[in-house]
Amino acid sequence: MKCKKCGEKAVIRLRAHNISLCKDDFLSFVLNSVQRTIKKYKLFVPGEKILVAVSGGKDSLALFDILQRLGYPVEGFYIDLGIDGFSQRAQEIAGEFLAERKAPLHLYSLREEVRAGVAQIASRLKRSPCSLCGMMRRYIMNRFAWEKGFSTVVTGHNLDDEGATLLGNLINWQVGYLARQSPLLPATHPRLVKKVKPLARLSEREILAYCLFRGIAYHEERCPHSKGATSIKQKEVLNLLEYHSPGSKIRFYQEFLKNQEVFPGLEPHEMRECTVCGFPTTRDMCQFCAILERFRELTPLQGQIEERKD
Amino acid sequence: MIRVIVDGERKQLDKKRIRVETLLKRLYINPETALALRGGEILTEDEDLLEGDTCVIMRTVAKR
Repeated sequence: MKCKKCGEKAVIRLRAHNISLCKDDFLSFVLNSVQRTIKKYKLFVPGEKILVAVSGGKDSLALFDILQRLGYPVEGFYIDLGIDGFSQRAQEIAGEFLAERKAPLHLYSLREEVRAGVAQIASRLKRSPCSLCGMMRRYIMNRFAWEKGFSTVVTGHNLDDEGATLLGNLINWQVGYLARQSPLLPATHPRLVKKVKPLARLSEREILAYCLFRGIAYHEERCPHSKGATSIKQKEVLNLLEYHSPGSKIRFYQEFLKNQEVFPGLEPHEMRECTVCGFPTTRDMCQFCAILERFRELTPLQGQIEERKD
Repeated sequence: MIRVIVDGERKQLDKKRIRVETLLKRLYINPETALALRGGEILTEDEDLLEGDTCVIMRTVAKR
């Protein structure tokens, strides 16, 4: 198999693009793909402060590496949601990665704020840890970025993530979400920070290959709470289609973005300020503060128990 | 004998030669969700594994 660009021995075949590439041309392909997404959707404006959410996983570390190579001034942010036996190792890997690159890493610990991890909170509230995890991460990323003066939060969502989200939204006819899904979520309130997804055109396999070629040591372990997650099944379905019809995933997502205006969206809710934290919400209290308040009500001795352990 | 490591499990194939594409099919692994490596190098699907080789299959989503 020969590289389509230079004719040297190819090291990877990309069936979706009907090309095989050598290592150097593959690495250029990845950087060009991200740069194209950034330009097409105008993800960044010159001089802005960019915060990259790093989980220690392959997507966020590859993203950080790519943005640094493209010359964007990026800083990392790790959110420790206190998942036993998982969060600590992930944080170590993220820390080592950013230290090697001499880039600042900001840290947030849920245990420091609530004295409990996300699984304990979910268990006490009889909720799924995954639903709380997603909501909490979004809130914490936004609050931290806004407080520290970052104008953009960047996440490592890739083509498989975006395809799975799109499929899920279509299955459930979530018209409001369908109208909003994009590599660029603009700031719609002075206390909301813009969120962008520069890896949206790259598949998980391409990102995995990028990490291997660059020697990026990422956290390989899967979150213990993600077992049986619907999004994983949705990805499997899309990858089965991709296998039988190469290019299906990128067509599914890109054609959706081109035709997104068929989903008019819902009337925007009136935004208020959360009575506890002051961040925007459609209710009196935002979901994050409501969850923490409910947890504290149900766990009146939590603080004392944790203090004794210390 | 060809050794294969997938999802942390070690398997042995009593073969002298096998194509990466065939190996993935035998393991019921969709090539869109994995990469095959030999000695840390990524293999394309048309490459052959030979007797004595050890192949590591890396999944895009960890199975454990």
